[in-house]
Amino acid sequence: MVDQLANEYAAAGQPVVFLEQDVDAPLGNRIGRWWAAHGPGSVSLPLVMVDSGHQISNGYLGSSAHDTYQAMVEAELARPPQAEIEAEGWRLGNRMHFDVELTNLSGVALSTSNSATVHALVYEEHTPVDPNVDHITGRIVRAAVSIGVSPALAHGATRTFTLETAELSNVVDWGKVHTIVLVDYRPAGSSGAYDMLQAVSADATPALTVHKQALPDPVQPGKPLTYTIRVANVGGMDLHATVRDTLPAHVTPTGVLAWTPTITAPGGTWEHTFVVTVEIGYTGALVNQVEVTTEEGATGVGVAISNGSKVYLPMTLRN
Amino acid sequence: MHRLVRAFILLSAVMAVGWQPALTHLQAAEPPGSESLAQSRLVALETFMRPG
Repeated sequence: MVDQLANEYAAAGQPVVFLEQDVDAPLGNRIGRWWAAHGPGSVSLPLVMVDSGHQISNGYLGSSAHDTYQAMVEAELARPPQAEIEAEGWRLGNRMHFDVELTNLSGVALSTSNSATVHALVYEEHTPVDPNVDHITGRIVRAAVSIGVSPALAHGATRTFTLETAELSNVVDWGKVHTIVLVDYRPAGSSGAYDMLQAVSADATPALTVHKQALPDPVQPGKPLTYTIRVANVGGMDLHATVRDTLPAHVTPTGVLAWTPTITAPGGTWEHTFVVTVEIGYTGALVNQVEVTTEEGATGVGVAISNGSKVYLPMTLRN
Repeated sequence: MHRLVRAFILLSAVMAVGWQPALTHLQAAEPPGSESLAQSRLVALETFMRPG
């Protein structure tokens, strides 16, 4: 029933993440949030919580499960976030690294006194091979790491945090791995249920910068002109790029040049230098544009204009 | 005559972009789909159960 609800929210584009863990081998300290809300005692599976235990449920609910869990989610959706989080996670080998910027908007200072904690959860969309022996929901937590908020973070203050998982050997398909970062704390202080202030997707995003250089400038007619293209991966995932350089007229060769580099993250760069020859007798501007597109969605444009000053026409022509 | 002046003005404006020699533009791509999450609460529903 949880998987059906998850699919409904996903189809509606609602900001809800459904996660599953093996109760016998829980990762990190997430299950501790459930017990903090429930307290000691005997319980039945499944254990379900929203927003770090702000609401919990336990036991098989049968036909009422869908509506019960939906009501829990809807109540949380109606609450405003009490923190702002900027987070990005990216893969380093078989680990996940997270950079997090947290702004506390809770109205109270966040600290170890109220167990304020930044969590990063890695989960995989994994279709069960056999529902009788595999997980149920298809959204399986693969890692859960956390770091306490210390020293205290005052209301309105911002701080950055860095988290990193251990080597992950339980991932089936890295292409289906997703991440979230969340912040929770104990409103009552050092005991009682936790509450989540905010969560965000930390999925890596594609981003790039394009730099185009033309030397020398100005360039003389009949002389070589050297172009350098530099594309930098400033996002969190490898980029499979197509670089198209449209050469200006009045140079040889002319036309469109194309390359298809893979530029790795984080921080990978691709640089290419080539030489053209300016047409004899041509002294005008040479406009060269390079366009970068990627399978991941990031795009960029770089333009180099040579001899631009030589054809600049001042506005005094109006006289 | 006016048409010629307008053409000069337009050409001047266009070429002014190229006033700096070998002008290079930098452009970063907008990360798609990540702009709105921080604006509203992202709800996490976590389930602990036994497979199967």
